[in-house]
Amino acid sequence: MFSTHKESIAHADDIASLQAWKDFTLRFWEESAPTIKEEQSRQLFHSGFYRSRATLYDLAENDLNAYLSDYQSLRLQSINQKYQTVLSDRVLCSHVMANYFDVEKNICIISKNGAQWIESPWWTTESSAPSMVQVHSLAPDDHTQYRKIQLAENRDSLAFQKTLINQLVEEAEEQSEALIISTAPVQHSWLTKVSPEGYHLLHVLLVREPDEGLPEIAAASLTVGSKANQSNTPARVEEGALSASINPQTGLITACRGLNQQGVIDTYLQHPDTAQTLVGEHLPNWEAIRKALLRFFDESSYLHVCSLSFVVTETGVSFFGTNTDVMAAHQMHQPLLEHPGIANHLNKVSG
Amino acid sequence: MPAQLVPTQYMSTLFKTLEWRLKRRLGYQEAKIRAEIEQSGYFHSEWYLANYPELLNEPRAVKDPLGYYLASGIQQGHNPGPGFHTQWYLEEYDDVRNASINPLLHYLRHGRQEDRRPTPFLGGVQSIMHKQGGANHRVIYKTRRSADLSHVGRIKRLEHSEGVQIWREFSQTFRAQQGSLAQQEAEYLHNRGFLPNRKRLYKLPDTRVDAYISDLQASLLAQTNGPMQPLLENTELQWQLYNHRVPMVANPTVTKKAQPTGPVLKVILMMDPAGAGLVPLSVVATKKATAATVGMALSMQLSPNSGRTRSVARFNSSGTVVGPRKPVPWEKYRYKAAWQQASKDIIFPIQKESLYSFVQLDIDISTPTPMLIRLAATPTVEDFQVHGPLMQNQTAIDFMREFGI
Repeated sequence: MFSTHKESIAHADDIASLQAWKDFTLRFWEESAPTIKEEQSRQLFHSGFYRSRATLYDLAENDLNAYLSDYQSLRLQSINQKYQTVLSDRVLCSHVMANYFDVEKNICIISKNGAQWIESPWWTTESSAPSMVQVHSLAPDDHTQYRKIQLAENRDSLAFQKTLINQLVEEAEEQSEALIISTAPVQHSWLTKVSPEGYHLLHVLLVREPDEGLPEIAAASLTVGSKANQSNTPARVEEGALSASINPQTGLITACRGLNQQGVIDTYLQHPDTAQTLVGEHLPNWEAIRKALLRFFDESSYLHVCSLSFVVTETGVSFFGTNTDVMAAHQMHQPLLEHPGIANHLNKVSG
Repeated sequence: MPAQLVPTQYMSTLFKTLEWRLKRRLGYQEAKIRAEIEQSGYFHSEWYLANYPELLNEPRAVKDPLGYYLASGIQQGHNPGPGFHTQWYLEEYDDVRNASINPLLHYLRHGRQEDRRPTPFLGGVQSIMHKQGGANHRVIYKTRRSADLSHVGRIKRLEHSEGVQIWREFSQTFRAQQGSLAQQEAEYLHNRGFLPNRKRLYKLPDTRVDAYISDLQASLLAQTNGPMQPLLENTELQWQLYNHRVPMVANPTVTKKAQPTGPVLKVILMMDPAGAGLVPLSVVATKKATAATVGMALSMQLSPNSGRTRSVARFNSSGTVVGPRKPVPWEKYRYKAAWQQASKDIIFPIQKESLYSFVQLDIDISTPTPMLIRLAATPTVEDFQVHGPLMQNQTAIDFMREFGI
């Protein structure tokens, strides 16, 4: 076992590690990060962290080697081996999740070859036409293409709806990516009251404890958007969204942190836009959500590590996607390498 | 004596010309072409209208899609179905383009035998649901479609690591089960990928040996499912994927209940390269061997279309076979209703998704509602092949060519 990230990366030569390194480096340069010193940027690169982590983890004060690096987060996925297939296809993933959580109805898959309707087109069954649909990428961990589309005003306009499908086909062709249209969940009223800007996603990291392999919630956090960072895609802590840490046992929001306008990490008790209290509140229906999460992971013994995102609804949670990119939201509160389950899995994959 | 108008030697030519003109006038050629295309499975009316929605405004096309395709669709570069890519075929083969003939007919009459591909996509699959990056998988690499597809030829080409690994497992199992098999018989069976008891079970050697799925080949067939293969190896995952969509027997690891022991319907679904969809290759209703049946298992082969019993056989693990024989009257329709119900509730939803290339479905039919037990990538071939070889029809041959197995 190597004591620093830099050493372990320098000695990684198996194909899964090299693949993870390739993915990390591509994303490293894609990230529009705040300006940091060249020396620090180089250190982050060689240790497998994106540049934004310098401020998010406050690395001037904290030890970088205690945090799960972004390279390690990508590397960790290979522990699910061939069953990662299930987590990399939104349709398959939805079928599995439907046993435990609410899952939005998938309506249509759009690829460069056209639209494949899973349900009948909504204009052929007028009574069930949704007022709003959401568009996801077919890969459940890719949220860059995500958007919600309001159909209510154009419910009667067949031409509009067909044009929309054609536009999405063109988009899929242009980006060589498949998209999926599904119905959109309704967020819990308390969260909408906290901030009306988009969905505030619940992120959960599930692992197996090292001794008996029992399922465990390693981390849970809520990403809360604000006026300053509103966009079509889900809010990200890198872009100024707040991260609220949730106690996995009780559902209590124990802390809330986020980047302030000066680009420095700050602590919040209330939402800055609406002054709604966050810290000290309980996430609605947490006990039922927790039970469903543990039951899902208990019955999915083929998975070892799983990071999921949900929209919190009035009745529980609705599956939103898998997520490999939210470790920063969890680690803003506590380094993940301190969790024995994560450290154990990481030792397994990196020898 | 009246003067002869046409010399005798030209009479036969004249009659042929008249016959040809008459047949053309009566629509004979067109009918022949229509029948040829319909039988090939390459034309799909529903697919055709769904992929060219502008034709819904053409009454002629809606009424007779194939007629429209032959009269106008070909000129417009339309594809007849997912298994044939007209534009690509013309671009790829200059001689067909220059000859100005119906490219689909060229493929059916000549191209197929000349090692030409009907589409650039493996198995005709372009982008069936979920298939990102192609779920289909060619098992024996660098296989030309005209390659020797006998068992001996296949094994010679088996060079990639997964294939050789499977070969090693097969040869070790063969050695363990060899028993008193004579040297010559052992060589015949082993070098074609059959386990020792297949000699009596399939009555080998037989001239149709290459149409039987060998045990080695059965293991290789699993790999045609590519990245979807893990779905077929894990019963927990199958339970999660299907239990809320099709009637399914409770997963024993979740509910701690024992698996059913009554009659089981076994169905092999195979990718049809002409239609790029799953079609039933064979259906059998089986009963396990018990002490009451003197260790003999029962297999009744059903017609995939009607569900009527075609043949009945009993066999045991040492390769003893009784039959196959024709069904007695009360056996003829025994499982017809169960098959029709299973076909509607279980087979159809799985066919519609087209996730797999070659899969066996086991369905419990001991209760009034047929229930899915499991999906398996490696077929239990003996249940099917006690009735005769499986890979005989054109679809099966095309599948073998396409996937190189």
